[in-house]
Amino acid sequence: MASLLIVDDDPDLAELVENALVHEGHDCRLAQDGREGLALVEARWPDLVLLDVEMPILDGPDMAQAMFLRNCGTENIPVVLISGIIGLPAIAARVGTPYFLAKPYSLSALSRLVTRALAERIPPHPAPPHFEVQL
Amino acid sequence: MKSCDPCPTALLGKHTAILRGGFAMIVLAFLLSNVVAIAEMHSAAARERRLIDRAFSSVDLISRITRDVDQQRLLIDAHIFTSAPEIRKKIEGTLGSLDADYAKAIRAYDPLAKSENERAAWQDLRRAIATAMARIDKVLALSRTDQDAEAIVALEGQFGMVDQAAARLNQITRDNSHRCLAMMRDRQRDATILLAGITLGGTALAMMVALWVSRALRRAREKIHRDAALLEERNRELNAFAGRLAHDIRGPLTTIGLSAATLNKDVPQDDKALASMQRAAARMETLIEDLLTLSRIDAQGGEAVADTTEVVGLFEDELRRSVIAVNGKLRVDVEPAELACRAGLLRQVLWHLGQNAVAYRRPDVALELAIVGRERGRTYQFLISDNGSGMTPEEVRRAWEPLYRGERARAVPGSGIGLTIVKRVVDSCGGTVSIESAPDRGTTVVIELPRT
Repeated sequence: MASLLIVDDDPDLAELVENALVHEGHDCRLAQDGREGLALVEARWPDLVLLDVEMPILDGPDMAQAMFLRNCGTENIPVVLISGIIGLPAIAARVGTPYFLAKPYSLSALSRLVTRALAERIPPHPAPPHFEVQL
Repeated sequence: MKSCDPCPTALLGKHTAILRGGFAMIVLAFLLSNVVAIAEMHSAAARERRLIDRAFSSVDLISRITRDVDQQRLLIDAHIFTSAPEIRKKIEGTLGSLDADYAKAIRAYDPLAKSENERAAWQDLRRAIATAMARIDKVLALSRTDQDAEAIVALEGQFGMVDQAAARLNQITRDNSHRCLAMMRDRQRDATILLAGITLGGTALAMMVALWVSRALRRAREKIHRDAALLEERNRELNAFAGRLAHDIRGPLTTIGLSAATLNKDVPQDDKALASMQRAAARMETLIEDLLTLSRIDAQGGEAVADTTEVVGLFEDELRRSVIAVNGKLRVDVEPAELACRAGLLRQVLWHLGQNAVAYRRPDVALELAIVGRERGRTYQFLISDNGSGMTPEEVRRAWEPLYRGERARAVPGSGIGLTIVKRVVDSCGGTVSIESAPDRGTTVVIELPRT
Protein backbone atom coordinates (compact mmCIF):
# COMPACT_ATOMS: atom_id res chain seq x y z
CA MET A 1 0.00 0.00 0.00
CA ALA A 2 1.35 3.41 -0.99
CA SER A 3 0.38 6.95 -0.26
CA LEU A 4 -0.67 8.70 -3.47
CA LEU A 5 -1.50 12.34 -4.21
CA ILE A 6 -3.84 13.00 -7.16
CA VAL A 7 -3.74 16.60 -8.43
CA ASP A 8 -6.36 17.32 -11.10
CA ASP A 9 -8.77 20.23 -11.67
CA ASP A 10 -11.41 17.82 -13.05
CA PRO A 11 -13.12 16.61 -9.85
CA ASP A 12 -15.00 13.79 -11.61
CA LEU A 13 -11.85 12.34 -13.11
CA ALA A 14 -9.89 12.78 -9.87
CA GLU A 15 -12.57 10.94 -7.93
CA LEU A 16 -12.69 8.11 -10.46
CA VAL A 17 -8.91 7.68 -10.31
CA GLU A 18 -9.01 7.86 -6.53
CA ASN A 19 -11.79 5.29 -6.37
CA ALA A 20 -9.90 2.89 -8.66
CA LEU A 21 -6.58 3.25 -6.82
CA VAL A 22 -8.19 2.96 -3.39
CA HIS A 23 -9.80 -0.20 -4.71
CA GLU A 24 -6.26 -1.46 -5.45
CA GLY A 25 -5.30 -0.78 -1.85
CA HIS A 26 -3.60 2.61 -2.04
CA ASP A 27 -4.14 5.58 0.21
CA CYS A 28 -5.19 8.57 -1.95
CA ARG A 29 -5.55 12.28 -1.33
CA LEU A 30 -6.99 14.81 -3.82
CA ALA A 31 -6.02 18.34 -4.79
CA GLN A 32 -7.64 20.57 -7.41
CA ASP A 33 -4.63 22.69 -8.35
CA GLY A 34 -0.89 22.89 -7.89
CA ARG A 35 -0.99 25.18 -4.87
CA GLU A 36 -3.35 22.88 -3.02
CA GLY A 37 -1.19 19.93 -4.11
CA LEU A 38 1.97 21.56 -2.69
CA ALA A 39 0.19 22.15 0.63
CA LEU A 40 -0.76 18.47 0.82
CA VAL A 41 2.82 17.44 -0.06
CA GLU A 42 4.09 19.66 2.76
CA ALA A 43 1.57 18.18 5.19
CA ARG A 44 2.66 14.62 4.44
CA TRP A 45 5.02 13.38 1.77
CA PRO A 46 3.28 11.01 -0.64
CA ASP A 47 5.05 8.07 -2.27
CA LEU A 48 3.87 9.19 -5.69
CA VAL A 49 2.20 12.27 -7.20
CA LEU A 50 -0.26 11.89 -10.10
CA LEU A 51 -0.20 15.31 -11.70
CA ASP A 52 -2.41 16.91 -14.33
CA VAL A 53 -0.61 19.38 -16.62
CA GLU A 54 -3.10 22.23 -17.19
CA MET A 55 -4.65 23.52 -13.98
CA PRO A 56 -5.70 26.89 -12.60
CA ILE A 57 -3.55 28.86 -10.10
CA LEU A 58 -0.47 26.56 -10.38
CA ASP A 59 -0.13 24.05 -13.20
CA GLY A 60 1.45 20.57 -13.04
CA PRO A 61 4.97 21.35 -14.39
CA ASP A 62 5.23 24.38 -12.08
CA MET A 63 4.18 22.30 -9.08
CA ALA A 64 6.81 19.66 -9.97
CA GLN A 65 9.39 22.45 -10.31
CA ALA A 66 8.39 23.86 -6.90
CA MET A 67 8.77 20.40 -5.32
CA PHE A 68 12.21 20.10 -6.89
CA LEU A 69 13.38 23.56 -5.81
CA ARG A 70 12.33 23.09 -2.18
CA ASN A 71 15.15 20.54 -1.98
CA CYS A 72 14.10 19.11 1.38
CA GLY A 73 13.14 15.63 0.29
CA THR A 74 10.16 16.46 -1.92
CA GLU A 75 12.50 16.48 -4.93
CA ASN A 76 12.84 12.72 -4.55
CA ILE A 77 9.11 12.00 -4.87
CA PRO A 78 8.36 10.47 -8.30
CA VAL A 79 5.82 12.30 -10.44
CA VAL A 80 3.39 10.84 -13.00
CA LEU A 81 2.16 13.46 -15.51
CA ILE A 82 -1.34 12.77 -16.81
CA SER A 83 -2.90 14.93 -19.53
CA GLY A 84 -4.64 15.05 -22.89
CA ILE A 85 -2.39 17.90 -24.00
CA ILE A 86 -0.45 17.64 -27.28
CA GLY A 87 3.29 17.21 -26.69
CA LEU A 88 3.05 15.48 -23.32
CA PRO A 89 6.36 13.56 -23.81
CA ALA A 90 8.19 16.88 -24.32
CA ILE A 91 6.60 18.33 -21.17
CA ALA A 92 7.55 15.20 -19.23
CA ALA A 93 11.12 15.54 -20.53
CA ARG A 94 11.20 19.17 -19.35
CA VAL A 95 9.91 18.15 -15.92
CA GLY A 96 12.44 15.32 -16.01
CA THR A 97 10.11 12.45 -15.15
CA PRO A 98 10.03 9.17 -17.11
CA TYR A 99 6.40 8.61 -16.08
CA PHE A 100 3.58 10.11 -18.13
CA LEU A 101 0.17 8.95 -19.28
CA ALA A 102 -1.76 10.44 -22.19
CA LYS A 103 -5.55 10.78 -21.94
CA PRO A 104 -7.69 8.88 -22.69
CA TYR A 105 -6.22 5.94 -20.81
CA SER A 106 -7.56 2.72 -19.34
CA LEU A 107 -7.64 1.76 -15.69
CA SER A 108 -5.20 -1.06 -16.40
CA ALA A 109 -2.70 1.33 -18.04
CA LEU A 110 -2.99 3.63 -15.03
CA SER A 111 -2.54 0.74 -12.65
CA ARG A 112 0.52 -0.58 -14.53
CA LEU A 113 2.20 2.84 -14.60
CA VAL A 114 1.54 3.48 -10.90
CA THR A 115 2.92 0.04 -10.00
CA ARG A 116 6.01 0.65 -12.15
CA ALA A 117 6.62 4.12 -10.73
CA LEU A 118 6.28 2.84 -7.16
CA ALA A 119 8.74 0.04 -7.92
CA GLU A 120 11.36 2.24 -9.65
CA ARG A 121 10.80 5.49 -7.73
CA ILE A 122 12.84 7.55 -10.17
CA PRO A 123 12.69 11.16 -9.01
CA PRO A 124 12.30 13.97 -11.58
CA HIS A 125 15.49 15.41 -13.05
CA PRO A 126 14.45 18.63 -14.71
CA ALA A 127 16.58 19.86 -17.59
CA PRO A 128 18.83 22.76 -16.52
CA PRO A 129 17.47 26.13 -17.55
CA HIS A 130 18.81 27.35 -20.86
CA PHE A 131 20.66 30.65 -20.73
CA GLU A 132 21.92 32.49 -23.74
CA VAL A 133 25.23 34.09 -22.86
CA GLN A 134 26.49 36.88 -25.08
CA LEU A 135 30.25 37.22 -24.94
CA MET B 1 -19.38 38.53 -46.06
CA LYS B 2 -17.13 41.51 -46.49
CA SER B 3 -15.76 41.70 -50.02
CA CYS B 4 -12.08 40.78 -50.21
CA ASP B 5 -9.27 42.80 -51.73
CA PRO B 6 -8.17 41.61 -55.16
CA CYS B 7 -6.02 38.54 -54.72
CA PRO B 8 -2.27 39.00 -55.29
CA THR B 9 -2.24 36.78 -58.38
CA ALA B 10 -4.91 38.89 -60.10
CA LEU B 11 -3.09 42.02 -58.99
CA LEU B 12 0.17 40.74 -60.48
CA GLY B 13 -1.64 39.68 -63.67
CA LYS B 14 -3.17 43.14 -64.04
CA HIS B 15 0.17 44.82 -63.46
CA THR B 16 1.92 42.47 -65.87
CA ALA B 17 -0.64 43.35 -68.56
CA ILE B 18 -0.15 47.07 -67.88
CA LEU B 19 3.61 46.56 -67.89
CA ARG B 20 3.48 44.79 -71.26
CA GLY B 21 1.11 47.41 -72.72
CA GLY B 22 3.28 50.26 -71.42
CA PHE B 23 6.48 48.84 -72.81
CA ALA B 24 4.82 47.98 -76.13
CA MET B 25 3.71 51.62 -76.38
CA ILE B 26 7.22 52.82 -75.58
CA VAL B 27 8.83 50.51 -78.16
CA LEU B 28 6.23 51.58 -80.74
CA ALA B 29 6.83 55.26 -79.99
CA PHE B 30 10.59 54.81 -80.34
CA LEU B 31 10.23 52.89 -83.60
CA LEU B 32 7.83 55.48 -84.98
CA SER B 33 10.01 58.39 -83.97
CA ASN B 34 13.07 56.75 -85.52
CA VAL B 35 11.22 56.02 -88.77
CA VAL B 36 9.95 59.61 -88.96
CA ALA B 37 13.35 61.06 -88.16
CA ILE B 38 15.20 58.79 -90.61
CA ALA B 39 12.67 59.53 -93.38
CA GLU B 40 12.93 63.24 -92.71
CA MET B 41 16.73 63.14 -92.79
CA HIS B 42 16.76 61.04 -95.96
CA SER B 43 14.38 63.46 -97.62
CA ALA B 44 16.46 66.45 -96.54
CA ALA B 45 19.68 64.79 -97.76
CA ALA B 46 18.09 63.95 -101.15
CA ARG B 47 16.81 67.49 -101.56
CA GLU B 48 20.17 68.89 -100.60
CA ARG B 49 21.87 66.56 -103.10
CA ARG B 50 19.43 67.61 -105.85
CA LEU B 51 19.92 71.24 -105.00
CA ILE B 52 23.68 70.93 -105.10
CA ASP B 53 23.50 69.00 -108.41
CA ARG B 54 21.25 71.67 -109.84
CA ALA B 55 23.50 74.45 -108.59
CA PHE B 56 26.54 72.75 -110.11
CA SER B 57 24.66 72.16 -113.39
CA SER B 58 23.46 75.78 -113.48
CA VAL B 59 26.93 77.17 -112.83
CA ASP B 60 28.42 74.73 -115.33
CA LEU B 61 25.91 75.59 -118.05
CA ILE B 62 26.19 79.34 -117.52
CA SER B 63 29.99 79.00 -117.62
CA ARG B 64 29.67 76.95 -120.79
CA ILE B 65 27.39 79.56 -122.42
CA THR B 66 29.64 82.47 -121.42
CA ARG B 67 32.71 80.49 -122.54
CA ASP B 68 31.06 79.87 -125.90
CA VAL B 69 30.20 83.56 -126.16
CA ASP B 70 33.79 84.55 -125.20
CA GLN B 71 35.20 82.12 -127.76
CA GLN B 72 32.89 83.57 -130.40
CA ARG B 73 34.12 87.05 -129.52
CA LEU B 74 37.74 85.96 -129.81
CA LEU B 75 37.08 84.12 -133.08
CA ILE B 76 35.26 87.16 -134.52
CA ASP B 77 38.19 89.34 -133.42
CA ALA B 78 40.52 86.90 -135.23
CA HIS B 79 38.20 86.92 -138.25
CA ILE B 80 38.42 90.74 -138.37
CA PHE B 81 42.15 90.93 -137.94
CA THR B 82 43.11 88.16 -140.37
CA SER B 83 43.08 88.62 -144.14
CA ALA B 84 43.60 85.02 -145.17
CA PRO B 85 40.39 83.68 -146.64
CA GLU B 86 41.15 80.06 -145.67
CA ILE B 87 41.61 81.08 -142.02
CA ARG B 88 38.40 83.09 -142.14
CA LYS B 89 36.60 80.04 -143.51
CA LYS B 90 38.04 77.86 -140.78
CA ILE B 91 36.99 80.42 -138.17
CA GLU B 92 33.47 80.51 -139.54
CA GLY B 93 33.35 76.70 -139.31
CA THR B 94 34.39 76.83 -135.67
CA LEU B 95 31.80 79.55 -135.01
CA GLY B 96 29.15 77.24 -136.44
CA SER B 97 30.08 74.39 -134.07
CA LEU B 98 30.08 76.88 -131.17
CA ASP B 99 26.54 77.88 -132.14
CA ALA B 100 25.47 74.26 -131.98
CA ASP B 101 27.07 73.83 -128.53
CA TYR B 102 25.50 77.05 -127.34
CA ALA B 103 22.06 75.93 -128.50
CA LYS B 104 22.54 72.64 -126.68
CA ALA B 105 23.55 74.45 -123.49
CA ILE B 106 20.48 76.65 -123.73
CA ARG B 107 18.20 73.63 -124.05
CA ALA B 108 19.87 72.05 -121.05
CA TYR B 109 19.59 75.14 -118.87
CA ASP B 110 16.04 76.03 -119.72
CA PRO B 111 14.33 73.51 -117.41
CA LEU B 112 16.70 74.39 -114.56
CA ALA B 113 15.50 77.99 -114.33
CA LYS B 114 12.45 77.61 -112.12
CA SER B 115 12.09 80.59 -109.87
CA GLU B 116 10.59 83.77 -111.26
CA ASN B 117 13.64 85.99 -110.87
CA GLU B 118 15.90 83.25 -112.25
CA ARG B 119 13.72 82.84 -115.33
CA ALA B 120 13.66 86.61 -115.87
CA ALA B 121 17.46 86.80 -115.65
CA TRP B 122 17.74 83.79 -117.96
CA GLN B 123 15.47 85.47 -120.52
CA ASP B 124 17.59 88.64 -120.27
CA LEU B 125 20.74 86.59 -120.94
CA ARG B 126 19.14 84.87 -123.91
CA ARG B 127 17.98 88.18 -125.31
CA ALA B 128 21.45 89.69 -124.87
CA ILE B 129 23.03 86.69 -126.59
CA ALA B 130 20.43 86.77 -129.39
CA THR B 131 21.13 90.47 -129.93
CA ALA B 132 24.85 89.78 -129.98
CA MET B 133 24.43 86.85 -132.38
CA ALA B 134 22.29 88.98 -134.71
CA ARG B 135 25.16 91.44 -134.97
CA ILE B 136 27.76 88.72 -135.54
CA ASP B 137 26.50 87.92 -139.06
CA LYS B 138 26.76 91.62 -139.97
CA VAL B 139 30.22 91.86 -138.39
CA LEU B 140 31.40 88.78 -140.30
CA ALA B 141 30.07 90.21 -143.56
CA LEU B 142 31.98 93.48 -142.96
CA SER B 143 35.09 91.50 -142.02
CA ARG B 144 34.92 89.42 -145.24
CA THR B 145 35.02 92.66 -147.26
CA ASP B 146 37.93 93.91 -145.10
CA GLN B 147 35.85 96.69 -143.59
CA ASP B 148 37.53 96.01 -140.25
CA ALA B 149 36.88 99.37 -138.65
CA GLU B 150 33.16 99.20 -139.36
CA ALA B 151 33.08 95.62 -138.14
CA ILE B 152 34.74 96.57 -134.82
CA VAL B 153 32.26 99.43 -134.35
CA ALA B 154 29.32 97.09 -135.09
CA LEU B 155 30.56 94.57 -132.54
CA GLU B 156 31.33 97.10 -129.80
CA GLY B 157 29.21 96.77 -126.63
CA GLN B 158 27.32 93.64 -127.69
CA PHE B 159 29.25 91.16 -125.53
CA GLY B 160 29.33 93.49 -122.50
CA MET B 161 25.54 93.09 -122.18
CA VAL B 162 25.93 89.33 -122.36
CA ASP B 163 28.56 89.39 -119.58
CA GLN B 164 26.33 91.52 -117.38
CA ALA B 165 23.27 89.28 -117.92
CA ALA B 166 25.36 86.15 -117.24
CA ALA B 167 26.80 87.64 -114.06
CA ARG B 168 23.29 88.58 -112.87
CA LEU B 169 21.98 85.06 -113.56
CA ASN B 170 24.95 83.57 -111.74
CA GLN B 171 24.27 85.75 -108.74
CA ILE B 172 20.57 84.81 -108.69
CA THR B 173 21.38 81.10 -109.00
CA ARG B 174 23.90 81.38 -106.15
CA ASP B 175 21.42 83.29 -103.97
CA ASN B 176 18.69 80.76 -104.65
CA SER B 177 21.04 77.89 -103.81
CA HIS B 178 22.06 79.56 -100.54
CA ARG B 179 18.44 80.14 -99.63
CA CYS B 180 17.48 76.54 -100.36
CA LEU B 181 20.48 75.27 -98.41
CA ALA B 182 19.46 77.41 -95.44
CA MET B 183 15.94 76.00 -95.72
CA MET B 184 17.32 72.44 -95.81
CA ARG B 185 19.41 73.10 -92.72
CA ASP B 186 16.32 74.46 -90.96
CA ARG B 187 14.44 71.29 -91.84
CA GLN B 188 17.32 69.14 -90.63
CA ARG B 189 17.39 71.10 -87.39
CA ASP B 190 13.62 70.63 -87.02
CA ALA B 191 13.99 66.88 -87.61
CA THR B 192 16.74 66.70 -84.97
CA ILE B 193 14.58 68.63 -82.50
CA LEU B 194 11.62 66.34 -83.27
CA LEU B 195 13.76 63.24 -82.73
CA ALA B 196 15.18 64.61 -79.49
CA GLY B 197 11.66 65.54 -78.30
CA ILE B 198 10.27 62.10 -79.09
CA THR B 199 13.28 60.43 -77.45
CA LEU B 200 12.96 62.55 -74.32
CA GLY B 201 9.18 62.03 -74.23
CA GLY B 202 9.58 58.28 -74.70
CA THR B 203 12.24 58.13 -71.99
CA ALA B 204 10.02 60.11 -69.61
CA LEU B 205 7.07 57.85 -70.42
CA ALA B 206 9.25 54.75 -69.91
CA MET B 207 10.43 56.06 -66.56
CA MET B 208 6.87 56.87 -65.48
CA VAL B 209 5.63 53.43 -66.49
CA ALA B 210 8.61 51.75 -64.79
CA LEU B 211 8.00 53.80 -61.63
CA TRP B 212 4.30 53.04 -61.61
CA VAL B 213 4.83 49.35 -62.26
CA SER B 214 7.57 49.07 -59.63
CA ARG B 215 5.25 50.72 -57.09
CA ALA B 216 2.41 48.42 -58.09
CA LEU B 217 4.68 45.38 -57.85
CA ARG B 218 5.93 46.53 -54.46
CA ARG B 219 2.34 46.88 -53.26
CA ALA B 220 1.52 43.41 -54.61
CA ARG B 221 4.63 41.97 -52.96
CA GLU B 222 3.74 43.60 -49.65
CA LYS B 223 0.22 42.22 -49.90
CA ILE B 224 1.58 38.73 -50.61
CA HIS B 225 3.86 39.02 -47.58
CA ARG B 226 0.98 40.24 -45.43
CA ASP B 227 -1.25 37.43 -46.66
CA ALA B 228 1.50 34.87 -46.12
CA ALA B 229 2.06 36.14 -42.58
CA LEU B 230 -1.69 36.04 -41.97
CA LEU B 231 -1.89 32.52 -43.36
CA GLU B 232 1.03 31.45 -41.18
CA GLU B 233 -0.68 33.00 -38.17
CA ARG B 234 -3.93 31.23 -39.08
CA ASN B 235 -2.05 27.93 -39.40
CA ARG B 236 -0.50 28.44 -35.98
CA GLU B 237 -3.93 29.25 -34.58
CA LEU B 238 -5.38 26.17 -36.27
CA ASN B 239 -2.64 23.96 -34.83
CA ALA B 240 -3.16 25.45 -31.37
CA PHE B 241 -6.92 25.05 -31.79
CA ALA B 242 -6.53 21.39 -32.80
CA GLY B 243 -4.29 20.78 -29.77
CA ARG B 244 -6.70 22.46 -27.38
CA LEU B 245 -9.67 20.66 -28.93
CA ALA B 246 -7.92 17.30 -28.54
CA HIS B 247 -7.14 18.14 -24.91
CA ASP B 248 -10.70 19.28 -24.16
CA ILE B 249 -12.20 16.14 -25.70
CA ARG B 250 -9.71 13.72 -24.14
CA GLY B 251 -10.62 14.92 -20.62
CA PRO B 252 -14.32 13.92 -20.64
CA LEU B 253 -13.48 10.91 -22.83
CA THR B 254 -11.14 9.63 -20.11
CA THR B 255 -13.83 10.24 -17.51
CA ILE B 256 -16.34 8.26 -19.56
CA GLY B 257 -13.85 5.43 -20.13
CA LEU B 258 -12.84 5.19 -16.48
CA SER B 259 -16.49 5.42 -15.36
CA ALA B 260 -17.43 2.58 -17.67
CA ALA B 261 -14.50 0.52 -16.42
CA THR B 262 -15.45 1.28 -12.82
CA LEU B 263 -19.05 0.20 -13.43
CA ASN B 264 -17.81 -2.91 -15.19
CA LYS B 265 -15.48 -3.88 -12.35
CA ASP B 266 -18.21 -3.50 -9.82
CA VAL B 267 -16.22 -0.99 -7.83
CA PRO B 268 -18.17 0.72 -5.04
CA GLN B 269 -19.86 4.10 -5.64
CA ASP B 270 -21.45 3.11 -8.94
CA ASP B 271 -23.84 6.05 -8.71
CA LYS B 272 -20.95 8.50 -8.64
CA ALA B 273 -19.35 6.87 -11.69
CA LEU B 274 -22.62 7.09 -13.56
CA ALA B 275 -23.04 10.75 -12.64
CA SER B 276 -19.44 11.47 -13.72
CA MET B 277 -20.10 9.77 -17.01
CA GLN B 278 -23.22 11.86 -17.59
CA ARG B 279 -21.41 15.09 -16.73
CA ALA B 280 -18.52 14.21 -19.07
CA ALA B 281 -21.01 13.45 -21.85
CA ALA B 282 -22.74 16.80 -21.17
CA ARG B 283 -19.37 18.61 -21.36
CA MET B 284 -18.62 17.01 -24.71
CA GLU B 285 -22.09 17.87 -25.97
CA THR B 286 -21.67 21.52 -24.94
CA LEU B 287 -18.29 21.62 -26.64
CA ILE B 288 -19.67 20.12 -29.83
CA GLU B 289 -22.70 22.45 -29.83
CA ASP B 290 -20.49 25.50 -29.37
CA LEU B 291 -18.15 24.33 -32.13
CA LEU B 292 -21.11 23.84 -34.46
CA THR B 293 -22.46 27.29 -33.59
CA LEU B 294 -19.05 28.75 -34.36
CA SER B 295 -18.81 26.95 -37.70
CA ARG B 296 -22.33 28.00 -38.78
CA ILE B 297 -22.10 31.72 -38.08
CA ASP B 298 -21.18 32.70 -41.63
CA ALA B 299 -23.67 30.25 -43.15
CA GLN B 300 -26.74 31.52 -41.30
CA GLY B 301 -29.48 32.85 -43.56
CA GLY B 302 -32.32 35.27 -42.92
CA GLU B 303 -32.68 39.03 -43.14
CA ALA B 304 -29.70 40.95 -41.75
CA VAL B 305 -31.83 43.39 -39.74
CA ALA B 306 -32.13 43.22 -35.98
CA ASP B 307 -34.37 45.36 -33.78
CA THR B 308 -32.40 45.93 -30.57
CA THR B 309 -35.37 45.91 -28.18
CA GLU B 310 -36.85 42.79 -29.78
CA VAL B 311 -33.51 40.98 -29.58
CA VAL B 312 -33.04 41.89 -25.91
CA GLY B 313 -36.62 40.78 -25.24
CA LEU B 314 -35.71 37.30 -26.56
CA PHE B 315 -33.37 36.52 -23.67
CA GLU B 316 -33.86 39.19 -20.98
CA ASP B 317 -36.23 37.13 -18.78
CA GLU B 318 -34.08 34.03 -18.87
CA LEU B 319 -30.91 36.03 -18.16
CA ARG B 320 -32.63 37.90 -15.31
CA ARG B 321 -33.57 34.56 -13.71
CA SER B 322 -29.90 33.41 -13.94
CA VAL B 323 -28.70 36.67 -12.36
CA ILE B 324 -31.31 36.60 -9.57
CA ALA B 325 -30.40 32.95 -8.89
CA VAL B 326 -26.91 34.12 -7.86
CA ASN B 327 -28.34 37.10 -5.91
CA GLY B 328 -27.25 39.57 -8.58
CA LYS B 329 -28.83 42.57 -10.28
CA LEU B 330 -29.45 43.06 -13.98
CA ARG B 331 -29.95 46.47 -15.60
CA VAL B 332 -31.09 46.62 -19.21
CA ASP B 333 -31.22 50.02 -20.92
CA VAL B 334 -31.32 49.62 -24.68
CA GLU B 335 -32.38 52.35 -27.10
CA PRO B 336 -34.51 51.03 -29.95
CA ALA B 337 -32.70 50.85 -33.28
CA GLU B 338 -32.36 48.63 -36.32
CA LEU B 339 -28.94 47.06 -36.83
CA ALA B 340 -27.41 45.42 -39.90
CA CYS B 341 -27.07 42.05 -38.18
CA ARG B 342 -29.17 38.90 -37.97
CA ALA B 343 -31.38 38.92 -34.87
CA GLY B 344 -30.51 35.32 -33.92
CA LEU B 345 -26.77 36.03 -34.02
CA LEU B 346 -27.09 39.25 -32.01
CA ARG B 347 -29.13 37.39 -29.39
CA GLN B 348 -26.35 34.78 -29.14
CA VAL B 349 -23.73 37.50 -28.63
CA LEU B 350 -25.61 39.24 -25.82
CA TRP B 351 -26.67 35.92 -24.25
CA HIS B 352 -23.06 34.60 -24.20
CA LEU B 353 -21.77 37.81 -22.63
CA GLY B 354 -24.56 37.77 -20.02
CA GLN B 355 -23.85 34.13 -19.18
CA ASN B 356 -20.12 34.87 -18.93
CA ALA B 357 -20.86 37.61 -16.39
CA VAL B 358 -22.87 35.12 -14.30
CA ALA B 359 -20.26 32.36 -14.63
CA TYR B 360 -17.22 34.51 -13.84
CA ARG B 361 -18.65 36.57 -10.99
CA ARG B 362 -16.69 37.10 -7.79
CA PRO B 363 -17.91 34.72 -5.07
CA ASP B 364 -17.74 37.38 -2.37
CA VAL B 365 -19.34 40.25 -4.33
CA ALA B 366 -22.98 40.44 -5.49
CA LEU B 367 -23.11 40.45 -9.28
CA GLU B 368 -24.09 43.71 -11.01
CA LEU B 369 -24.65 43.26 -14.71
CA ALA B 370 -25.66 46.06 -17.09
CA ILE B 371 -26.56 45.86 -20.76
CA VAL B 372 -26.71 49.34 -22.28
CA GLY B 373 -27.37 50.18 -25.93
CA ARG B 374 -26.95 53.65 -27.45
CA GLU B 375 -27.04 55.11 -30.95
CA ARG B 376 -23.75 56.72 -31.93
CA GLY B 377 -24.16 58.40 -35.32
CA ARG B 378 -24.16 55.74 -38.01
CA THR B 379 -23.34 52.98 -35.55
CA TYR B 380 -24.89 51.49 -32.44
CA GLN B 381 -22.91 50.75 -29.30
CA PHE B 382 -23.58 47.99 -26.78
CA LEU B 383 -21.84 48.12 -23.39
CA ILE B 384 -22.06 44.90 -21.39
CA SER B 385 -20.39 45.53 -18.05
CA ASP B 386 -20.08 43.54 -14.84
CA ASN B 387 -18.23 43.66 -11.54
CA GLY B 388 -16.92 40.09 -11.84
CA SER B 389 -13.49 38.51 -11.53
CA GLY B 390 -12.11 40.34 -14.59
CA MET B 391 -9.20 39.37 -16.78
CA THR B 392 -5.46 40.01 -16.93
CA PRO B 393 -4.08 41.88 -19.96
CA GLU B 394 -2.77 38.56 -21.34
CA GLU B 395 -6.21 36.98 -20.93
CA VAL B 396 -7.82 39.99 -22.67
CA ARG B 397 -5.32 39.68 -25.53
CA ARG B 398 -6.09 35.98 -26.03
CA ALA B 399 -9.81 36.15 -25.18
CA TRP B 400 -10.98 35.62 -28.80
CA GLU B 401 -8.90 32.47 -29.37
CA PRO B 402 -11.12 29.41 -29.70
CA LEU B 403 -10.98 27.09 -26.66
CA TYR B 404 -8.64 29.44 -24.79
CA ARG B 405 -9.52 29.69 -21.13
CA GLY B 406 -7.78 31.95 -18.66
CA GLU B 407 -6.13 30.38 -15.64
CA ARG B 408 -8.93 31.30 -13.23
CA ALA B 409 -11.63 30.63 -15.83
CA ARG B 410 -10.64 26.96 -15.93
CA ALA B 411 -12.14 26.52 -12.49
CA VAL B 412 -15.57 27.26 -13.99
CA PRO B 413 -17.24 24.83 -16.43
CA GLY B 414 -17.27 26.06 -20.00
CA SER B 415 -16.07 25.33 -23.51
CA GLY B 416 -13.89 28.40 -24.08
CA ILE B 417 -15.69 29.16 -27.34
CA GLY B 418 -18.25 31.76 -26.18
CA LEU B 419 -16.08 34.83 -26.77
CA THR B 420 -14.85 33.39 -30.07
CA ILE B 421 -18.49 33.18 -31.18
CA VAL B 422 -19.04 36.80 -30.05
CA LYS B 423 -16.06 38.02 -32.05
CA ARG B 424 -16.97 35.99 -35.13
CA VAL B 425 -20.57 37.26 -35.12
CA VAL B 426 -19.57 40.91 -34.68
CA ASP B 427 -16.98 40.57 -37.46
CA SER B 428 -19.55 38.96 -39.77
CA CYS B 429 -21.88 41.95 -39.15
CA GLY B 430 -19.08 44.40 -40.02
CA GLY B 431 -18.77 45.65 -36.43
CA THR B 432 -16.01 45.84 -33.84
CA VAL B 433 -15.71 44.44 -30.34
CA SER B 434 -13.23 45.18 -27.57
CA ILE B 435 -12.76 44.29 -23.92
CA GLU B 436 -11.84 46.57 -21.03
CA SER B 437 -11.06 44.52 -17.96
CA ALA B 438 -8.95 44.30 -14.82
CA PRO B 439 -8.64 41.39 -12.37
CA ASP B 440 -11.16 41.64 -9.50
CA ARG B 441 -12.56 44.90 -10.91
CA GLY B 442 -14.93 43.61 -13.57
CA THR B 443 -15.21 43.56 -17.34
CA THR B 444 -16.84 45.80 -19.94
CA VAL B 445 -17.35 44.50 -23.45
CA VAL B 446 -17.84 47.27 -26.03
CA ILE B 447 -19.56 46.31 -29.27
CA GLU B 448 -20.04 48.69 -32.19
CA LEU B 449 -22.44 47.55 -34.90
CA PRO B 450 -23.53 49.32 -38.10
CA ARG B 451 -27.10 50.62 -38.24
CA THR B 452 -29.31 49.91 -41.23
